[in-house]
Amino acid sequence: MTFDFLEMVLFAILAIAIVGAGAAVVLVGRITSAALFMAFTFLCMAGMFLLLGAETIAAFQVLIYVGAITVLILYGVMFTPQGSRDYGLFFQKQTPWAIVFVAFLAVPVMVFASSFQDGRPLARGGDLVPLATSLFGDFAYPFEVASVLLLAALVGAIVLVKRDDEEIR
Amino acid sequence: MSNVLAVMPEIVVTVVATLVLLVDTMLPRRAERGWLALLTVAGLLVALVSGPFVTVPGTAFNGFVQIDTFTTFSRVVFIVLAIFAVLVAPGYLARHDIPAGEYYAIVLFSTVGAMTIALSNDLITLFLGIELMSIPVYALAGMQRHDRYSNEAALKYFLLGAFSSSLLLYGFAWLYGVTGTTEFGPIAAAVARTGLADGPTLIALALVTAGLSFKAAVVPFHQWTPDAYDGAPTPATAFMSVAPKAAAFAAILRLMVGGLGPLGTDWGIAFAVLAAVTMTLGNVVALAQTNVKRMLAYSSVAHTGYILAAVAAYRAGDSAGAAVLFYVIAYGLMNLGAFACLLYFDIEGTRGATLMELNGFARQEPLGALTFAIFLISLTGIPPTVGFVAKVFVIQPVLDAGLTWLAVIIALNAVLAAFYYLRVVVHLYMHETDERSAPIISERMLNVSLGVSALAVVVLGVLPDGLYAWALQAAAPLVLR
Repeated sequence: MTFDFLEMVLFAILAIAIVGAGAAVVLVGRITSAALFMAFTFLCMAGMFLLLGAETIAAFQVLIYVGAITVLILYGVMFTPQGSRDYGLFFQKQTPWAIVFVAFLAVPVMVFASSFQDGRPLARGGDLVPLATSLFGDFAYPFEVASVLLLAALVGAIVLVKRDDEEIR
Repeated sequence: MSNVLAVMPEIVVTVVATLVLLVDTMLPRRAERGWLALLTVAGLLVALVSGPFVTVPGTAFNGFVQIDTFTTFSRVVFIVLAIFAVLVAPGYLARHDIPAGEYYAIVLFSTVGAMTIALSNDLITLFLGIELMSIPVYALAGMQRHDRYSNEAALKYFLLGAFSSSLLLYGFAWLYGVTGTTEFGPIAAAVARTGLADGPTLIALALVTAGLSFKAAVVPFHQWTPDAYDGAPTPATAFMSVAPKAAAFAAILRLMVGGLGPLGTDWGIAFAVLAAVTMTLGNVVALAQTNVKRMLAYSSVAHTGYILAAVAAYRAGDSAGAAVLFYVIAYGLMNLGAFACLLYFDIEGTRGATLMELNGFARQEPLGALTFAIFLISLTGIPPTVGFVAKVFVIQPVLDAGLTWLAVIIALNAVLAAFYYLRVVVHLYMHETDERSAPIISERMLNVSLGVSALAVVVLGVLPDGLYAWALQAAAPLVLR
């Protein structure tokens, strides 16, 4: 009983942190701070996975999102010129509309989301075996399609950014 | 093993894509790359043939994959469209310094995605298929990297595509929350039980409808279309105006008619209204265009409306599904052909020819002008072309479903469209060549492939029965009974 209560408290802390840091990513002006806030969001998501009893996925979340992707984004920030920007793009001037839209979406989400049925709970004893069997057994086809998707995205990205023949010489 | 056999055509296309990339890297930098197109087409033909011989109907991969007559039909559609898109490209790619190997590989990857949509039996497969279909096309739009309009096209297409994908995915999450399953059959059973009475189902339905409408370029979710089609390299435009649209309608048929069929009374009327708005706005704006490429972009929005009208008439039964499939094939052939005819004109950048630049084309290239005219007449919907037959097949179920007002709007729109399509024909045939006419390029591969597809447009217009019967068969498994 006490454990359930603790779980609720942890969930509330993590949820507030995720939503708050997520909002901060969009709202803070400095892009480095935004990237670090995003890393914090990912970290809290890993906490959510832990609460759900998915330790392996939490570990992957930390390794891939907090580690690799954030570092990649920080490198991207480092390599691009960051001038001061005293103009606002079209979409950056739409804050009032965005608030209305989010409120419009958030209310039904809060009302209805609690009505969803629970999924099947994981069996005790670690999530590595169920993860592996579902990834390479049950979900084999989507898994393979996802790998083709990554390959295609990779080819597309390289085509768009690679240097011209003249520049290489 | 039977699992692997079930998706053999998809595997073949994926392997060909990587093979093309590999061969491309082994060629010397300045080597002629035209025959890579032939390698690609050969691979696609192998995939086409492997379909009916290897795969067996039924589900595979734990219910993620569904092989039925609809899958087989759609595979043929996507492969044929990819073959034409590849065959018209080589000359343009060489002239504008676009990397050929990557171009064909990306077309192939996108085709695998489209085929995956057609065989999906589950929200997860469907979503991955949609992404695999669309992400390569974003890159395709931006492949002419030194052209600002190509950059704009790729960026707009990517941003709005990503936005629509997130809407769609969010809708899928709600759908999963409501039904507790991602498989289409159980989803249909669950929504049949609850109906639309509860709010979450309504939210899921709205998000999914909006997401799929973006992908198919339905008004008011079409704003990316003109800039993306106009700015992309012309052979890429030819491909992306037909294959992603065909794939989007495959997704609509699988998910809306299949999985969410029990809610048909609710989305049916929404689609009917959207169809009327889409075709009318597409045609009215196309009237005002003087650039043929942009005009065809708006006209493709209008054609989305005609196809959507057939979806809205789902109550008419299999004939509605067959009308969608038949129209998708007809649209694919004639629209790909019409965009590809712009490849005859040697114009700087990605911009298409203006009406003035078409002047006197018929004198210089009589056969090219004839194919262009055939595609335009078919797009208008004048017999004896496939475009006319396709419209008849759409109007029939629309009337059967009791949507008389929609049938009237379709007929009025066909008249409206005739004006701007036939204006192009006038410029092709009735104006003399003058200083405004664009220089013309003639290539054998372009001539042959356009000739074949123009012939197909006429032959299918005279003898549509075989294809229509096949489309009827393909539409049968869509409604989950």
